[in-house]
Amino acid sequence: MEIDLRLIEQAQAGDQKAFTQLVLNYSGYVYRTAFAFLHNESEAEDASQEIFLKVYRSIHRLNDIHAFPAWLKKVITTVCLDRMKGKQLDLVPDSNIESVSTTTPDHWDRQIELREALGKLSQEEREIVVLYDWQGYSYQEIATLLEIPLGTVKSRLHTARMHLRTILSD
Amino acid sequence: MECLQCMERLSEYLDGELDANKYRDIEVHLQCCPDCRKVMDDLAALSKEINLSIASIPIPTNLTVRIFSAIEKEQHNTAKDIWLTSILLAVFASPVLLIFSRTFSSVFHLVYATGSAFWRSLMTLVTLFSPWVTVTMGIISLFLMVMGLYIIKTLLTKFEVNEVVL
Ligand SMILES: [Zn+2]
Repeated sequence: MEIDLRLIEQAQAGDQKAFTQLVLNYSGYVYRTAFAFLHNESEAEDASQEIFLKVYRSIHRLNDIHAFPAWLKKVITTVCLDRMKGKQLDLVPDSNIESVSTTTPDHWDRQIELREALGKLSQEEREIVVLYDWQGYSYQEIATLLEIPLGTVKSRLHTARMHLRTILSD
Repeated sequence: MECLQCMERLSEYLDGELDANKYRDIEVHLQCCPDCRKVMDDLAALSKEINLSIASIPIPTNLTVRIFSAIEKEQHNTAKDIWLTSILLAVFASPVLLIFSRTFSSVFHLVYATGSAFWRSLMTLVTLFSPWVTVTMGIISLFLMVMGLYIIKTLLTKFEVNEVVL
């Protein structure tokens, strides 16, 4: 995530144009993270809306603008984890966005394959992989976020990765 | 170290979450065990690939439009809230402003004059009674007031209990 401090400052001051730019800059990251967690297109879109509304309502309360990336990451994580807790999501991953695979280069195929594999993980497993590998939270931070012991974080992350490896080798 | 023990710790090894001793144990085992090394390589590659695959998730075309419309709706609601607050403030502030109105002031003065006339006649009436009568009447009315409060309280408690049961 690149940060444009001036933009954040202006958005904090209530500048609508700056906030619009902020949405344009970060909506991709926000949506992708939400999709990685939720693995459902419309859920991820709803979550993105909710995340930006939260940002809109409370960005002026952010004391240190340098903390914006960490703060945004926390907002995304809280919204997504809440949504995962709230409802049992479809176990069948969204298939229509993967349908482009026939005419795309090899490395795209591999990425789509990986996404599908992530979708086959259990909610708990996917959650921890996204938190560690994509969001970059430490083991200790994940233990605090999920309110589970550090030992559980270690074993769950390892199990999830091994599961992913098995899915991909099939 | 055996393969099973090594494999169990591979994620922590890759993520740098092991203490120096365990790290060295695994390192030694990996040097002589191609099976574990294969798993380690796979896991290391996997972490990188996960990020690449998430970074390439396609974004719906109408995403930003939906976000902007949600924010617009929020702004609209905030504007409505501000209007409501000002109207409420005006409603509550109006009695204070009324005092400055000449008509209201004369009405207020009339009420005050009537009240004070009533009070003076009452005082004259009280001096006509013997002190014993006024003291007894005072005690009786105090007793009635306490009783009344007690009854109201009982009624309210009963009401609350009903609410919970319902
Ligand atoms: Zn081994």
